[in-house]
Amino acid sequence: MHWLKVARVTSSLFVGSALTLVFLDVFHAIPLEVVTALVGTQLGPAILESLSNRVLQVIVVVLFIATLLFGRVYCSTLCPLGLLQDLFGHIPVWKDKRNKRRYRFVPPYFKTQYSIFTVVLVSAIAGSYWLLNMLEPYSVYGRIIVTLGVPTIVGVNNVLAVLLGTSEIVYRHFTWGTFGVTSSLLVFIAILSYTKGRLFCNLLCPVGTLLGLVSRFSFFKISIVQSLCKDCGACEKVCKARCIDAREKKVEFAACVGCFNCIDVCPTAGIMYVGRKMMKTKTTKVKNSRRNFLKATFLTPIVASVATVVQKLGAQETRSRYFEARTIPVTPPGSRSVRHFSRHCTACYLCVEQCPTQVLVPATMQYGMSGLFQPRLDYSVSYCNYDCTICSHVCPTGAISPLSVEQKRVTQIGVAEFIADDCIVKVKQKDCGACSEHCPTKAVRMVPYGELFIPEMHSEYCIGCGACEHVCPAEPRKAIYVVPHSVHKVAKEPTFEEYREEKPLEDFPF
Amino acid sequence: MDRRSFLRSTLGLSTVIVSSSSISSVFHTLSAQQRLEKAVSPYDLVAVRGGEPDVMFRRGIDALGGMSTFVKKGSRVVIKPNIGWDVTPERAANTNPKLVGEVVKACLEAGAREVVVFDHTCDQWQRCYSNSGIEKAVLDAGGKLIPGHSEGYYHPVQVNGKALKEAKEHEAVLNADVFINIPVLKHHGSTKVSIAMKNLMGNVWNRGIWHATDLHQCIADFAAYRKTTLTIIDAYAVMKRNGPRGVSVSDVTIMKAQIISKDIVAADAAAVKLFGLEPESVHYIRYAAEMNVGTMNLEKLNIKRIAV
Repeated sequence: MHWLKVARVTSSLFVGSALTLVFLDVFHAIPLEVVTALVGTQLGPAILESLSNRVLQVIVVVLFIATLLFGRVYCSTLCPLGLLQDLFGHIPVWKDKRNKRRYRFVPPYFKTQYSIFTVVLVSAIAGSYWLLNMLEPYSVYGRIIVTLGVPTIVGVNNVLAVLLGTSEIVYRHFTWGTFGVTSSLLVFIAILSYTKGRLFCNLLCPVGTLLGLVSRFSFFKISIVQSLCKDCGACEKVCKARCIDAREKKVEFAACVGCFNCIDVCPTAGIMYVGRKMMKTKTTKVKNSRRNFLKATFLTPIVASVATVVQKLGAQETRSRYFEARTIPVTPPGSRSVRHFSRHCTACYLCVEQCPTQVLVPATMQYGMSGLFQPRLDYSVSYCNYDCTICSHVCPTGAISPLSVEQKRVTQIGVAEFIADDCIVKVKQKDCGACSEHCPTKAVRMVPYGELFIPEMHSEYCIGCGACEHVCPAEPRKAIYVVPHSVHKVAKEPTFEEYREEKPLEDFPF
Repeated sequence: MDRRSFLRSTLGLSTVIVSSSSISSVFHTLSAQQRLEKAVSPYDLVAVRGGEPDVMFRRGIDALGGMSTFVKKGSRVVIKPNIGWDVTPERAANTNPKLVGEVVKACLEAGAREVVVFDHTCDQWQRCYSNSGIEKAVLDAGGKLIPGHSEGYYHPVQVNGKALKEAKEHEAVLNADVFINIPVLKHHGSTKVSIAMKNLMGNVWNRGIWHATDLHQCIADFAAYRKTTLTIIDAYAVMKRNGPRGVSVSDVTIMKAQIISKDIVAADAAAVKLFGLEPESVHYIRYAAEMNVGTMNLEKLNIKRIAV
């Protein structure tokens, strides 16, 4: 095997399987530093985060330089979705005894590709991330593993737990919406890559398209060397990007995903990296026609307006007072505001997977169409741990900025509202206090209420963690619930007068 | 003489015969055991003060005849500390890890086949187990820490109380020969104090219904149902306000005390006095005493007081 292909396969398998383990890490055994380092290799989130993060700026620059030198090697070495597609490409061909998958050159669909890219880009800039999130390869991969792989792992673990007497895992963040959409997307990608190689990368993928544009200016390009080529056509047959035209001895390098299968298979070294000056074959120039540009600019407002309408539809929940308060989703601490979060999150679900309490769940329509499937805090499932900052540290896109534990403890993502008329204490005239029990800052305090005790809100201390709401046993409506902030605030630090004392018992009071 | 009183007197008589004579060897050991307990420990309750949690426990349990009085060779022991919250040991929201470790050790020394520790935590269970220091203490002492975070571990039981008719209790307790309750004494926002009977809420899965029906009555009902071999109350560090979770270490008073008793109501009554309240002012203690789960009148008890 050619060393270039060996390197590519090794890198791809390593990064792909390591990322898969990160997304499957239901025991949270992988250290956070390793998680962030691995996710740091991913270009899509790195571009989004690079505005505020120096390290990621460096990564983005390095990846762009690599592309300027050697083309889209990223697509075959670091992209986990690329690896997944290659795996589908290795499934034996139906009814072919020799199991030979032969690709044939297809002129790239550059016009369609760039139109799609423009629409994705413009709608993202306009504030709607859902197209980007549907197509950005790292996030698509993460979503596939978290929504389909994790439940499988949990199932296997729980069967083993019964047999071996080890711990069960309680899995709470399943939603039919994400399951349906993600499995459809997986089936779509599987069929596409099984039948048409890396068409996803050369038609839909925004990262692939961007790198393709850069690779047009690459210094080294894979080209057919006329003098060495024996016209055997082997390279074309193994090119999963379908960008080698063996008859014309041309390579559409903007579509090449840098897998080096051609270099590996060529009997004469007739296809290889060639420096710009040595290039003998000219790559075809494709004009991004004015019509396409017009199409894109015309399409975008339509997409955007549809998105806003659907967003408004999604936000209408009028079942009860409890739900009326929840016109916007609760976003994780560190996400600053619903707007900031929605405009940076690519729904890769790394935070969903890493959250120890599983309070982070994929939203369906809670962010409206523009933030389809981005995670939110669901207090019917669980609540946000007072001392935990994991999501803020693993987020690769800057949707959730890193918080220290001290910062987290005063980050107010919403404020609990108490409705005494729904409270057990008032309705049944019995002690309860479950909300105050769980409150980590004593924003909910129990105060005398006749013979009983009833909750009293001290909102300035509330951080909106949702513990009170989660445990409130009142039915049919929770008597206490978090009203989310659209822009996060800072809560007052819970200070009480110093009380701690060394006061060993002098004598028994009985 | 009607049939009932005849039966009663015959039964009583036969018991006396059986315990005083040594006809069969089985009965012999039983009566010997009973005599031993009676002889070694005349106390209903032991109160210890002034030492470290592990030292106080050793002194206290010795006064009750040693751990082997309660833990027979080969028995399966379940220990239920309070591990409800994801906080450090200094916060005193959970049972002192040193005490838990020492009790595990004492059970194993007495010849227990296995010693299992668990709680149905409030906060995320792994964080509670680990950050409370109890995980390490139990494992170091040779005990086993088992999870209680999934409904699958809990099985329906008939409580048949006044408010609480049924519950789902952890299988470890249902399968155990010996059940030891090691709560921490602390303030509680709605029940005033959380001690031993309140700690039993961690035995069950569906606690919400206790809160939603009648918290005090449910606590008393469950205490009547759940037979406890031994109650050891940790009052080394006592959270005096903002309970049961607390906000910071400033909520805690270092009291250095411990209560040990077979009677869960008596233990709670003694502990609540340490806290500075009268037993009858805490509804669930009063309810439990009225239901004859135990006695809250400390004057009626033979109490051993130890200063370390």
